[in-house]
Amino acid sequence: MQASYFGKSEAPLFGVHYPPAKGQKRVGVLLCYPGPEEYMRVHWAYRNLVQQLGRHGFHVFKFDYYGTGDSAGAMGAGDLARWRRDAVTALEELRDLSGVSRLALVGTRLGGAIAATLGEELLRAERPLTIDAMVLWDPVVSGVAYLGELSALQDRRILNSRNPLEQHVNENCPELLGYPLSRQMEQSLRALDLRGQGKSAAMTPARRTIVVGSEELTQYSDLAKRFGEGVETGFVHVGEACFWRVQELLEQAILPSRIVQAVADQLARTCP
Amino acid sequence: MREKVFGFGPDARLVGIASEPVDRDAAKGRPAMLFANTGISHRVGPFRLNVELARRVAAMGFYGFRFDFSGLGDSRPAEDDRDDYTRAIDEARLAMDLMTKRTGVERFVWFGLCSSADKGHHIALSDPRIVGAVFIDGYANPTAGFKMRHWLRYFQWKRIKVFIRTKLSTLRAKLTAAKPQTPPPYKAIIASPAPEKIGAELKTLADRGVEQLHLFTISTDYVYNYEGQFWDLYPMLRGHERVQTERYPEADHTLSFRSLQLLFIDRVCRWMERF
Repeated sequence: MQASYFGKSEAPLFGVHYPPAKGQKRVGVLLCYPGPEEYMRVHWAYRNLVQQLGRHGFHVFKFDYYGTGDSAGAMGAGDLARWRRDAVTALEELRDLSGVSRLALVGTRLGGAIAATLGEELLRAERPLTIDAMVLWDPVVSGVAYLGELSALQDRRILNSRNPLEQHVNENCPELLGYPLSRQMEQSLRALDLRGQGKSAAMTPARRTIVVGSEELTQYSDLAKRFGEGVETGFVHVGEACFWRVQELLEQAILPSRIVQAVADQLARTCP
Repeated sequence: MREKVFGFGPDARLVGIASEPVDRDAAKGRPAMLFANTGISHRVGPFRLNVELARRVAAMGFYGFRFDFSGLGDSRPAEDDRDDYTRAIDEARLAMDLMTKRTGVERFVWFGLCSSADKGHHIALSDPRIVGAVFIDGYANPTAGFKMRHWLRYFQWKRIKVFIRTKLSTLRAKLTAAKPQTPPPYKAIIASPAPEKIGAELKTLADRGVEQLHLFTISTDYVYNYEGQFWDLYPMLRGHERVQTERYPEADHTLSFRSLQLLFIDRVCRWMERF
């Protein structure tokens, strides 16, 4: 395991590279975190996922987007365009650190949407980057719906609290669940619609795309079909609750062992 | 300000990040601020509090160093059977050794929220290099004043009105999102050791010259519910020049609003000016 800063020196990103525990599968997997509101919740799950992927022989690299975690940037500084560039920079770093030629992506929630929409950014990479496979775990399909979910959680949190939290709401500095929401980020989220972007140049041209859902939502099975035509796609429903929309559990880590197993298994199957 | 990642400890299994001030020579003479895990969350802290504070103190001319205890965040698990406290003390010592070796800094301030305040208390007692401590929602025990205020709150007309309104709403809708705005019944679910013991230990630290800032949010109001309860709990610390305490009834435990995060960061930075 090697933790380091990478990318541009004026705005370095934090990442951790995990070489495989056994064997040398020539595939590197980049883990894309959810947005900051859900970042802390999946940190443990990603730690477990790293171990599972390592046992399958993958190189794994996880990183923090600009303005999140240990990366440079103030809270609320990033937007989706910036985070897509960060993801491609992280793919290049993974390739350079591991020497792998084949790459795969795993993205959770907003990270799933980012992983799925790297098409245009990949074209701008200095050297061609080919994505073998992509596993999207409970991806955000619609940015508008996602903003609505977070706003509803924010409202419920204030309403249900015994503490007078409403006094902290500042209309001039919008925030969602403790994180600033910049106008740029809000606009980029409102423009996000994986169903509308299906098959467009914005979508990541992965050879295989699997959606792993904790809920059996039609938007996930529909999304899997969108990638169609020459792309192996699929939707795997794992009936294990992640509680993304449960206000009382907003600050609890989620440890969905069967989903983590399913993500690792799908990658092992699609990237032999 | 720039940041560096370090692997340290046995087999470099621990991960830490140093936030460096611009004037590194001047910073050698000042204490560095240390941050670790709150609960099982990793070193960035709830709502990225540790990162933001480490960068703010670095901008003030102090080193900041945030790290994961073994088995948490990005640090690998320890392969021994030491208890949590012994391991935390050992690993904090390794973090301080690393910072001294790499930066020349020899004094440290521990920043701890909740379980990190608990660990920080033990670390400060065991290592004389700790010269300051900020504990948020650290140890607290009920006092007679606490119990009186706890029960009196049931008789506040404002709370009774909210309670009745909520109950009526529940009857009407069968289900309502709002919960009764009454305090939970007092339960002696106190994890804190006896106040006499904690008070004596805090006094030992204060007499050793350890500057202390004890902050409490409303999330501890099941055990700590009035300004000044700290002094009733620990009368031996009353008037001690090294010890400050404040209660923030508007703040929740993890500072889950931006204004609260900035309020606490500003407060801690102002307190750090003494160094």
